[in-house]
Amino acid sequence: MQIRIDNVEFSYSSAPVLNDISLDIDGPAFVSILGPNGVGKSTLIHCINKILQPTSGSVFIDGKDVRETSIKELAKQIGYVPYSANDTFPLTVVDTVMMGRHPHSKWKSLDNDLDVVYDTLKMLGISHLAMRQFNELSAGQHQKVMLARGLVQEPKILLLDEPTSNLDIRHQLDVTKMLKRLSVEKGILIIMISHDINIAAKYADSVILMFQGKIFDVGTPREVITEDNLRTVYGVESRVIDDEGRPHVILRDALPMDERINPSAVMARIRERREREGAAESQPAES
Amino acid sequence: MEKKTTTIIAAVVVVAIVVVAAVLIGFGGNGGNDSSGDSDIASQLQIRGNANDDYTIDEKDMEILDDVISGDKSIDDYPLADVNNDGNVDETDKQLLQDLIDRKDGTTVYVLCLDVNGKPTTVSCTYPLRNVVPYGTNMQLPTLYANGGQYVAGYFVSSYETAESSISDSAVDLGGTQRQISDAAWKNFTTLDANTEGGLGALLVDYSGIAQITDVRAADLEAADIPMIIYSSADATSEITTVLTLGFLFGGDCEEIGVEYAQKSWDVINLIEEKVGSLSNDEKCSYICCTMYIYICENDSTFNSSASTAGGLPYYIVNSDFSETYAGDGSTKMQSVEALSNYTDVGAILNNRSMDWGLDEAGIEELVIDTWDHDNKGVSSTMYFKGFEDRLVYINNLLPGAVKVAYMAHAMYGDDFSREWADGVLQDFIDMGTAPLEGQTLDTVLAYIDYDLYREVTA
Amino acid sequence: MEYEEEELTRDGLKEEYHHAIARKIILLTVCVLGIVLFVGLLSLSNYEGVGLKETYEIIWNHILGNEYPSKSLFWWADRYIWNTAFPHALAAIVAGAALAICGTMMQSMMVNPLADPYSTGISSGACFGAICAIVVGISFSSVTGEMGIVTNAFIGAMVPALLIVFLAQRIHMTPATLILLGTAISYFFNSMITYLMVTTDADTLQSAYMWQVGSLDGMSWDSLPIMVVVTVAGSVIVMLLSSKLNVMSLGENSAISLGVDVEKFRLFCLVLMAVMTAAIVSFTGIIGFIGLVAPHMVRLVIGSDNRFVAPISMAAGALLLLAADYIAFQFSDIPVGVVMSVIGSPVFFLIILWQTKKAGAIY
Repeated sequence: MQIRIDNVEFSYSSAPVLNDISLDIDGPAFVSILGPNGVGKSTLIHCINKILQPTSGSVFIDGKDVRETSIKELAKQIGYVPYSANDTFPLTVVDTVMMGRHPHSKWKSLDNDLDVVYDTLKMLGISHLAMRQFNELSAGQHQKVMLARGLVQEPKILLLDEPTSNLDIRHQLDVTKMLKRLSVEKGILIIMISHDINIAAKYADSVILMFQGKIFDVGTPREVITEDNLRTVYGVESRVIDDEGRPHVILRDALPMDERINPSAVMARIRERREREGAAESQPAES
Repeated sequence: MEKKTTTIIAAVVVVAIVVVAAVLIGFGGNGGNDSSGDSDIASQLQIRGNANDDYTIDEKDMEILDDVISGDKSIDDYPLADVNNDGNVDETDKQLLQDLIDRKDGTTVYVLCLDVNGKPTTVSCTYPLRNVVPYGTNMQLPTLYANGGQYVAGYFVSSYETAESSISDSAVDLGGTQRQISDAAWKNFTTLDANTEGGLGALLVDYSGIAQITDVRAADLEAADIPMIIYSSADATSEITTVLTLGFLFGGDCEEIGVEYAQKSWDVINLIEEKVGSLSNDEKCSYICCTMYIYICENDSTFNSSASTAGGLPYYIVNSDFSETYAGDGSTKMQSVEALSNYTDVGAILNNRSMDWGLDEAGIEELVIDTWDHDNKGVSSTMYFKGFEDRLVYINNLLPGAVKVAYMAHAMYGDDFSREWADGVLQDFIDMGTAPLEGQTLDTVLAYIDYDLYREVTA
Repeated sequence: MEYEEEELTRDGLKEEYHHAIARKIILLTVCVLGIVLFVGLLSLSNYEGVGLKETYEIIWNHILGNEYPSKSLFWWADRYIWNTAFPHALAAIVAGAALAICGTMMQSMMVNPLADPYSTGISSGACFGAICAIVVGISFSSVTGEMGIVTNAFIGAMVPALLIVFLAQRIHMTPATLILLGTAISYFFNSMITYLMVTTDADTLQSAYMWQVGSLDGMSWDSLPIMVVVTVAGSVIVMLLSSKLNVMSLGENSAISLGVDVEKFRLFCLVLMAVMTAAIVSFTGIIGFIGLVAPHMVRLVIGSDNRFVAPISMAAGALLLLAADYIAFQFSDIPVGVVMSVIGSPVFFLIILWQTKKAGAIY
């Protein structure tokens, strides 16, 4: 399957968020979207599943413009795992996850749906929470339930907005590994927004790096996660090493946010330190 | 020789005494209450069988029935000849009429009254009427004036202890109010029907309260065979007809009182008509009627028709602004104390208030002050009638219609109708033996308040 | 940590799930029994010797077609129960059920536990229509008299709803926008109502005011058919849509991602709710708090799944209104709207307090 994003722009009244984004994403694959806060990552994926309408440009899924696809039809193809969940009217975990079956649900499917739900809960290791109220769970358990909900949708494309940010390191790794496996086993195109560069680097097939509402760089993790890119996009000094064929980032320093400090003085100090340590030449950054 | 003369003289004296006594009794008793009395009773008894539309049912009606049956007279001219309300006049009507003439117990009587929409209709009930329940002051008082209090099985509300004291002691208080019959009160009513041997005889309703008889309740009455007799008796002449009719229905001494009441009332009305009826509009006294202290009666209000019967000219005829402002048949509250300021040329202001009697002197004084100087949410009535004090009078609305008319006539034509004359009318009604006024005197009834009385009391 | 808890098998899950459903059915049964009880209580007449047991007897006999001797005490009691008390009780059931299910729908749709059917200005519109008829005699339709007031109220109630639908084509509607628009419309209609009431005389003013205060007086068999039909049809639709409502309460983004066209669905629900509420309110006046409180009471016991909350809140709403009506009946002449407010306000208060305990959830 393929997602084509064609000259998409989005702005809230006068403040532009996405500027002329054009991108092809081919699946199945495990794609990671990276970038600092406010750069438009969530907005981009919201434009894909019609939560937001781009102010100009189009999104095509397998050649079909999403504007011509009904929301219901789209829901059968695209799953979505939000960053946070609304728990004003909480249901049990089972019922919450069952919501994910909604696009596919028919009248008599209750027991069949229950099986799917059970299997998904078991896969995520939370089956013992099944009859608990959603609002009695910890933040990490919340996220797993959200994930389960997205998975039971059995979608071709799964969009995730920071699905592991509240999980501990074990579960962060485990979930990301699982997602990678799913993209292969079930042939799903998984697009995940993440703040953890290393975990994304470890498992993603390709990385989309966004900066200031534009696509800054696209490619394999090795191609995109470079010291220069990180400095430009994130404003951090780092050292990127190779670990089992995948880049691993060691953070060194941050460019100061304090506007009173003279940045060039800081840059000079950083350069000195680098020369002192004899750091390896950074890879040439792609423009 | 002397013995024979003495006897003759004695006989002559005895005869003379007898003749004089007869004459005195004839004139001094019920002044003019034989069938060749002073005036005709203009009320028509509202009972089918009263073919000649007079005030009673007697042989004269049978004559008309015979004429209609034989074809000499048409039923269209004598609609009440259809005694059993079946559309034609035949032997069955004659039989029924005979029973009525004989005042036979258990006869089915067809009464003309109003339906729930105010249209004329016929309702059947059993003669004589017993175990009635009245609703509405303008129906309750006429019932009592016909001495029907003894036959009242229950009442919704009784606001005037003395005036309504003739309601039977065994009558049940059904728990309604002046404006409303609650569900609970209706339940008490129906319980009364269940507990009354043979059921209730009739529900007597004043038309102004008809909204309380909902469809559901009307269906209840129909299913239970309780006749509902509706009259609109607020105006004086209608009241007379109601008392007359109710008197007939109750039978016995009630019928007598009903006829007497009607007779006396028409005497008064005709006297007034004689004296001032022929006056032109310019010569007549104009009036504005009021009620509830500061409400002005609208053009077609029943208070106005009573005042016109008393010879007055309704003010709306004189003043077209007034006519426009006060169109309608109810009453409107005075918007401000200036409400009457444009009508300074009115002849009299007749304000109607219901006031119970059986008062002592102190009670009378108190009532006079409370009426004249009434506190209307902080503003005294005197403020509303400033400048009209000499033309303002209060008349007791509980009195018989003809008495009210008499006092109105006095207020407007004081030269023709003296205070003594009006008081005399009241006294006549007291003497008549009508139950509400029993035991009352001119000193225990506050019938009439004028500025003089007010000044006297507050001096 | 997780492995310490008992493992749930696949069948175990199904079993527990079905148990949960059973619990909900029990609650429903309890509510229905309560309703039957209150119908009996309300039908209790002042007739001596007719107690609760006799009341049910009379109702049963009537259904069977047996009659009592004419003009006897039981005969009158039978008439009273069937012509006055029963339609009154039935009206309470229908109104309570309709308002409760509208409240459930409103709260799920707006994802706001403080929403109720009147949040979009429907109540002010209805009052305005009715008061136009009462005070000025202006009829928006050709119907006059008592039914004229009802039709006026209905048309008035639909105006805010239709206005919002119209505006929705032009601007992006979030739940907050909807409620704010509703509030603005309320203010407008309320000012018109105040003007009319201030310039009229005391008697008309009293009629107008009494109309506003919700009351079930004067409910007869005539007024019922419309209320019943609209409520039944409307609630069937809501129950069919209940899983969509569940999805709505996940939040706008999640709902869209699960295939619900949120804006269109919201408008549809709005119109449906407006029709149901208008049908009830035109006859009874504004009975508040049921739409707000009944769904919460039910959720406290069985959770927030709309597939169950919708029907059970109907039973709970009916029960609530019947109970309030019974209390109003004891203190004769207090309109049921007043009693409902007296009961409803402290409950509402408590709901707000509970809500502040944790961010978001109450349960």
